[in-house]
Amino acid sequence: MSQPGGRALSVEVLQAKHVGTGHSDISKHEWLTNQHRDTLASHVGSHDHLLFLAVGQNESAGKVRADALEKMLEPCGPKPKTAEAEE
Amino acid sequence: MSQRNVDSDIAEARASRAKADGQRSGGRSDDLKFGGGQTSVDDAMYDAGQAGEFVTEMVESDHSDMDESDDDEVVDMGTAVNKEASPSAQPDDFAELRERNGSGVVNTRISDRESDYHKRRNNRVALDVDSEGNKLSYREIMENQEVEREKAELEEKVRKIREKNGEVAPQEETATTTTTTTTTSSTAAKGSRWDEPAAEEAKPKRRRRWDATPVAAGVDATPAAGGKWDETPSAAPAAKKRSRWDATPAAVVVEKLNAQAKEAKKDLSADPRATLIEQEMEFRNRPMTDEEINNLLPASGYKILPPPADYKPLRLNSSKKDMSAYAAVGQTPGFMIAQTPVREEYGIPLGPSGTEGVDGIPFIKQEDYQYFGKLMEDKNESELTKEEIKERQIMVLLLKIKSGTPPQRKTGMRQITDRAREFGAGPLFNQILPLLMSPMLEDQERHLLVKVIDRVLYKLDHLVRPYVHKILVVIEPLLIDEDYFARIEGREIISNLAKAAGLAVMIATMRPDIDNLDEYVRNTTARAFAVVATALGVQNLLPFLKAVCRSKKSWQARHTGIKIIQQIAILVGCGILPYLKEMVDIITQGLTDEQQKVRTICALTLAALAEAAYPYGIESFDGVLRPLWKGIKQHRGKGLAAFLKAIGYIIPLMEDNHANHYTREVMPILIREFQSPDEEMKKIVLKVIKQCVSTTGVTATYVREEILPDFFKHFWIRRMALDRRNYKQVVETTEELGNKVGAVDIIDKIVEDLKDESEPYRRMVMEVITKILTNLGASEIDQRLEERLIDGVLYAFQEQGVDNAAEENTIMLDGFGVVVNSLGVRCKVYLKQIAGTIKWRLNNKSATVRMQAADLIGKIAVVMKACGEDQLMGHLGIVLYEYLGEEYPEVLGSILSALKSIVNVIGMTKMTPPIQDLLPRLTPILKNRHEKVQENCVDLVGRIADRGAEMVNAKEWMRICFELLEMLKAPKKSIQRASVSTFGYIAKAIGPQDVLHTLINNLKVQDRQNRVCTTVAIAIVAESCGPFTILPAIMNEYRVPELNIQNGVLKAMSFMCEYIGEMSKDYIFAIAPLFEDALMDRDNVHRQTACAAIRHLALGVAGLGCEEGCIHLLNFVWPNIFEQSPHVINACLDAIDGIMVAIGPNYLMLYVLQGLFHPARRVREIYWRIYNSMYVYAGHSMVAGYPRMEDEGDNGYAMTTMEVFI
Repeated sequence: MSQPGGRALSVEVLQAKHVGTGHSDISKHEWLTNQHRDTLASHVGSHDHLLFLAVGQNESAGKVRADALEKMLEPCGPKPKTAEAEE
Repeated sequence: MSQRNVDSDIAEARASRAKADGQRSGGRSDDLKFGGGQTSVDDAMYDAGQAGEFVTEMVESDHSDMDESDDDEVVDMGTAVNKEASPSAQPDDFAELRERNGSGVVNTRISDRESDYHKRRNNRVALDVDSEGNKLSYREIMENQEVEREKAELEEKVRKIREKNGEVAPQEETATTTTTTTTTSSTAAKGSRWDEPAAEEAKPKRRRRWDATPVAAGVDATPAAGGKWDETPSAAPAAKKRSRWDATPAAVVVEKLNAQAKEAKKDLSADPRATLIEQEMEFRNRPMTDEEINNLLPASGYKILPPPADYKPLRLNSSKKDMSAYAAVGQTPGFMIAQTPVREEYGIPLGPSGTEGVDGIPFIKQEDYQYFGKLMEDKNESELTKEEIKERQIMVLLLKIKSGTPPQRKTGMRQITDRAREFGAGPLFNQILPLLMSPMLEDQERHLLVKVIDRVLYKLDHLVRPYVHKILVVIEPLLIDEDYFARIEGREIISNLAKAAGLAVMIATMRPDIDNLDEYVRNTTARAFAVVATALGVQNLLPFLKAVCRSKKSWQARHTGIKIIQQIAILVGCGILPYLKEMVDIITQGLTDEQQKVRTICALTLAALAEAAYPYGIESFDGVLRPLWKGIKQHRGKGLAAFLKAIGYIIPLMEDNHANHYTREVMPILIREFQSPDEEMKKIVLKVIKQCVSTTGVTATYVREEILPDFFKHFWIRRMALDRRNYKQVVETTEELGNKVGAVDIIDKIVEDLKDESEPYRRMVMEVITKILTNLGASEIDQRLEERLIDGVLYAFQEQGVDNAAEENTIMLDGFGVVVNSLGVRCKVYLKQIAGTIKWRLNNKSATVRMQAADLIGKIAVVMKACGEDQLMGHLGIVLYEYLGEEYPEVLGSILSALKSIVNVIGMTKMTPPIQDLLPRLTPILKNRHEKVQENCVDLVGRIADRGAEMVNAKEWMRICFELLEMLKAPKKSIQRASVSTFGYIAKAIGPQDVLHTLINNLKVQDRQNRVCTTVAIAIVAESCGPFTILPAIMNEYRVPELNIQNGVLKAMSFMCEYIGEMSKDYIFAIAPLFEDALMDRDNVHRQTACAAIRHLALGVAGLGCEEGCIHLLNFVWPNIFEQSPHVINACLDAIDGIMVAIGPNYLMLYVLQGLFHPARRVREIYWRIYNSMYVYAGHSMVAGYPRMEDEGDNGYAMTTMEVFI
């Protein structure tokens, strides 16, 4: 991403605009959490896809939708404890 | 200068006041002595009349000063648009000064262009240190301030009592009394009066904190610079006032006294030249010797008379004055041939040959010796203490930054930033701040030093706290600088400072300045506070502002508090909306303050708030409506002006019926003030009328009946047209009135004035008519008015002055054009007359008149066509053709543009003269280097090439092609563009081969700009004649092993791909091998240009089934992602972005996944950059392509929903 003049956007600005963007020090968990959220948002956002999932899982569309929204909170579970955090 | 002890001062002051003889004291003990001494001398020296005059002058200037600062506020707010651009009192003065100083490079010394008001920055006092330089606590500072204020009030009171007792006669009387009263009776009184200004004068001077800094010592240390001061101890500041007394040699005594005082002060702002000139004047006015008189007069016929017995020469000791000094300088010591300015003065850094500095230290300018003189002393490093070494290091760095070459500056800047913490805040600021206060400082130097502060601030962070006030004193003046960038810089520094020091420290430091006695200090402090508020959040400052605005102790505090809110409103604009209610509540009671100034600023602040809040927030102003509307019935003069202004800004926020009601309320006052003689009031009244009328609530009938008659009576008079600002305001307001009541009402009233004898007035009428007709059209205008209008416009056009400024002439010209165009076909009957006028004026001997006539043809050509006057146009065409030999380029340009507009409307075939005659006449004109001629000529030629190319033979077109090549490098972009598109037209007309040949040859030239334009032209030809006509030729040309040519070809292809868009899908496989070669070239410009081309190519073929080709090219582009050069890497990433559009993000994802978690950070960084760009552009499509992951411990990474399928 760059500005009109060709200068690159700073990481903070980019991050503020687009939450799912990453950087060179991102952890696997963070990256995947973003992916999951994007995916779930995509499901919720396109109704046809939602109906498809509902049929596939034999659930009501509303339930699938609510589940997806619920799951977005922590889609991949809690943040894994790193060596630093344990210290 | 000796520091003063406040307590003893006060005691002394009281004691002296108690004395019945009226001897007044200044605030300072040494001044007291000085004043006393002077009194006796004065009595002997001046007769009473002179002394009285002097007093008058002093008092007057004092008052006018105060008025000025008050005016400032109104004026400042008065120009709503310019408010941001000119916070200073007289912006025009500076513009003029700067113009006089040329480009501003040679003399940009800041102190030279400062107004008196700006100069007051030198009077600021350090509040936070006492006489011994100890830090004072906040409480002590506030106490000192309190004492100061009380003292000032007391002095003021005493002055008033004196005046009442008649000890100081009112100013008007002074002149008459001096002639009638006898000296004996008045001596005592006069003496005391004389004393007064001395005391007054002493007050603002107080202690100058910069004297305390050790820099002054440098003067003694460097004899070269010090010599200047030794020679002429009586420095310039005294010169201005002194000059009057110079005639009497007796003044020497005073001068000596002055000189001693001045010498003690070491006022650094002295200009040595002034002293030189003074010396010369004294030398020239010296009494003639007998010998000289003998030489002048004939020997016979004259007799020397003895002087009368009672004559006593007035001069006391002028004979003692050493004339030999002058002899040494020469007969005319004031004259000298100025030295050729050194390169440095032009801003050109000294090259290696010219450097006089030693050891890589830049040359130290004469005036900088006092700061950097220490560096020239030879000292052994080992003898120096640690602090001294540090000091020297900082000094070297600062010198490098201030007067070094750009590389020196760069390293200096970097080192001082890197080592800021090591040096410490104290040593750094102790050196930087005095430099910034130097009277010799120039713009560029100030900019650099401010930059240093900015960088250092960032590094030091909270360590700057002790220096906040010192920094503010230096930076605050930037906030009212006339230079926009200086203001921005000042704001940035203060905001950084606020962030580094924190709100509490900022408030504690700036609080004492809020009720400072000096208006200048309060003004700058208010602005600085506004900056702090925006930096740290307006919300946080509101409680403080609330307290300040309700201060009971001093009106100054209330005034400043309200002003802070005004400045915040100006600074953050609509950002104040969340706090609007609170802010209005805070200042409401200022409207009924007992101090006039507080009421005024409060009204102005409301205006600023309403302006910033527009069109929202009327409910916040509910509380102030009553006091405002009540206020306009109570106030007069400036106060009223401010109130009206606030009303003018609040009314547009209101709902329709409210606006109508309140407008009716205020209107009688406004109409009454129509006749106010005050210029400021006039402008505000006009502005308010405009604002009121523009609201929908006010009806046309009301405006027509109530406002218009008085409005025209008072504002449509000649005098209003003379002042630029009045003129603009009247025009704007009338335009707004016109929008409300319709065109006829206005035009009918002023159309006769088009024949007025005053030209500026005619211009004002014309401008209003132009604006009204543009806004409303001419449909309402009836036959009779139409005749009067055309008649008036013709008169005004013909009678306009020849040597007016360009913009003045365009008013008449545009006006004519607008009138004719808005009347449309109704003009038919007048066209003959108009054409006659034009023809007559085309023959005029003044170039401007000819140019206007030609321009007018351009403006009315469309209407002529609409009226069916083809024959007339043909005739005009021939007339213009005959004038193509015009020698003034401006006129020639206009004639060409007139021809162009005729050709445009009557078409190629009907054009007279025929095109085949016209074009050959234009070819030589293409050689003309004048921009206006070039532009119009190329346009005309392009027009002909576009529409009537077949009327001219191919040979002529080739000739034009060669001329056009030269024009490709014209400095003006529009000419480049016009000539490039003309290439396209010509190529289309005569076939691409010949043109292309010329263009390809042109790729070999050295001039880069020429080559770039050529590549654009090639691309245009490709677009207009089809890529297949040129691709073989340019791809063949790529085989020439020459850098410029190959790059030119690539660039041409890049432009071509951009222009032909989707068409490129037929060529992608044909040109891919060429791109492969370019992307594998060693030269990175090859790769960069190829990347740019591929980007356009990929964007063009997106969705057209060329994924295969794009992926193939991507494989060649990809290795370039690790390029270092910013141009190459940007081009490469752009190409990848383009290809992403063509092949979709998920294919690209496979490339990106390889490096997202690479062990090397540099690799990861670039891969994430590409990933992010993909995410931003095509985040949603990426959902389908995220890689499959497996669960890991507690974390369920698998994306199960994506695996569902029916």
